[in-house]
Amino acid sequence: MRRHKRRWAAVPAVIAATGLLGACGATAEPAADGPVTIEYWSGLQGTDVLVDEWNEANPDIQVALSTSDGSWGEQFAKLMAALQSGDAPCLMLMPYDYIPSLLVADALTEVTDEVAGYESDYLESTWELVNYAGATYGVPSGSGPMAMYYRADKFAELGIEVPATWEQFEQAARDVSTKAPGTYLIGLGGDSHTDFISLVGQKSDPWFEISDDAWSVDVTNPESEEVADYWQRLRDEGLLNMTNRWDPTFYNDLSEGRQLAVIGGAWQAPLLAANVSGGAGEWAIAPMPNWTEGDVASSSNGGGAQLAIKGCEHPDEAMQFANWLTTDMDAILSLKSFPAMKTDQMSTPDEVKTFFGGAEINQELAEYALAMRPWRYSPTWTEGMTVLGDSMAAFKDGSGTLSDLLATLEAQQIESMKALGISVTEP
Amino acid sequence: MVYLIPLGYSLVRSVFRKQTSGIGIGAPTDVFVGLANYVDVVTSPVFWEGILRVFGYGLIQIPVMLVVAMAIALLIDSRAARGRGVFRLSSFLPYAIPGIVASLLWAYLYVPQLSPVIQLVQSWGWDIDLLGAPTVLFSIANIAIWSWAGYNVIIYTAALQSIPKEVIEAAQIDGANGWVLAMRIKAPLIRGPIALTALLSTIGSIQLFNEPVVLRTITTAIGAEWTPMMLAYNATFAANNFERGSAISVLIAIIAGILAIVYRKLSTRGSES
Repeated sequence: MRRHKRRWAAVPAVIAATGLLGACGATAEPAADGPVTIEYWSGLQGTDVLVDEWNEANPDIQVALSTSDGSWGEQFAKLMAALQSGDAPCLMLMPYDYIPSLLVADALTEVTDEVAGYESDYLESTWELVNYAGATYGVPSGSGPMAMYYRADKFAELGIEVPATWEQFEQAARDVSTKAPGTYLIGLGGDSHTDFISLVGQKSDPWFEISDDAWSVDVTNPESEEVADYWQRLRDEGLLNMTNRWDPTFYNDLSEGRQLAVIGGAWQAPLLAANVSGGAGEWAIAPMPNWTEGDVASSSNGGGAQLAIKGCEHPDEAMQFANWLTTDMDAILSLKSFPAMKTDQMSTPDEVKTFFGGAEINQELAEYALAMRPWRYSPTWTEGMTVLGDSMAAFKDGSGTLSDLLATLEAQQIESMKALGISVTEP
Repeated sequence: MVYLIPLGYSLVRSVFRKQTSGIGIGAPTDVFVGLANYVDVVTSPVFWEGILRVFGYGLIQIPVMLVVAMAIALLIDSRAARGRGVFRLSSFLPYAIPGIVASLLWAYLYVPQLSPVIQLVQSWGWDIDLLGAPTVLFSIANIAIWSWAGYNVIIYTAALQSIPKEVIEAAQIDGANGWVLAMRIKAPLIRGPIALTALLSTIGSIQLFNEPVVLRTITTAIGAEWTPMMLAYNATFAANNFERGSAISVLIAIIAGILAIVYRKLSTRGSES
């Protein structure tokens, strides 16, 4: 039976880890007679430096950081376990797509009044993502306006114009393949489902909306199908590099010039600068192509919020810290996030600037951020992620299409919401 | 008691469901739903696909592993073999390496860009993909065989050593050589331990979890709900549905229990005949 125990080992380990994390935080004291301690979970590297900085400047509001590591999914699971055992933090960084699921799990504390004064600090499109049915649950931390990053030198070499529309983009993809066999303009790997959703989000209205105390679901709308068909066609014609986005191979492909462009969120810029070795200084940035000539729509990809967790005893102080962290430009950029705040003076870290040939690319990205179309995630999105991941893998190996992905996701989302007792308006 | 508390908790949770209303914001309530979670699971194709997958995996992995283990054990036991200690240690060593670590080691050998093995094979002009949809099951079976063969070797050598000396000597006097001795005398006499290892391995197959979870990070050929255990884990921790996760876990326990009974029936019938 030894084998039996070992197989189970992974599950209790998650719970045990949570207990340890919880134990790290100090207990909060009443605000009136002394400093309060905010327990804070964040998985972003570099947070400790910022927390130290804050603690030094704010003796009355001390932040106790627990580095919550692992994938976002693992951090979500950790939080769920911590809530059950009473060891949850007061403040936590989580991506936007987890917020509705956190709400349904009753994991968040409403801080509408506490953050009312901060609303004007943030982009409207990101503020929307911490707001549900008139209540606010935290402050936006990062945003991910979609952009196109490309090898300017290779484009010039092959005589490819920077495409402004998706039609031109398709032609450019074809030109790259014919002029330089074995080279791709773009890729869409088996783990790129969030990228695909952002590509859809540029054209489609949000798949999920709250109206009249119910969620309306419309994943398979004509605009989404059109985007799905577009990328399916590129794949079927062999114009896409199918390397997974999060494989080490991906950066290899970019470094060695097998893929010439990436369309992704703003937070990808520092990642590319840090991991792509070939062509440094030759990379450039452009808006993502549009469906109609002259449009400037961008879309949101990734990003997250600092959320007040259920049971937080000092939400006001927690939000003061969160607001400082998310509106301090240097702080946010040091976390390799792209700010969700409003600003007209966006700086670009030196190493990123060098990679993009000295261009102030963050200033550029800030403009795309203003053109981000609204999006909203569903209350059972954590369940949908499984379907999405598997459908995207099927798209990669050719056993399924992106249109199948939309249909499967819609059916699964409606079913899972109904199973929870949520009112659903079907398309 | 300690053994029964988690089981009891799972059983209780599995007949409830969290229910919310409206747009789903606010504390959910627990609703008793009887066997509805079980009905959901047994009528979902994903569950049965996972079961089929682990049975297929078991059909490949268990016979190969047990034959390998038996061969090593017989070699160690035969007086002809030299360096028995080295054999025993080298076959047992992988078992001492935790499953997750073993998977990571093998993952390194499976990724084309990192693997010296694949690079060697590619230099011969072969293009192999050890992480593709059809091959990944074999790659996982390989990890398990490597990890667990030594464990079974220990059981077999212990059993072989308990065979009375007189039996062996009698056979040798009758003229049995090493091969005949191993196949006709030794192997049949340790039928009990063989049945035991087969049972343990089958239960292990149903609980397949570590290896695919690790390999999942480097290939999209393994879905999040690839095996029944992964399905349970995903329901519990990704979808935050403890109730569904509990129902799946209880079903896996029932299937393992049924298999244990079947094995017991088969092995006792075998020894009676």
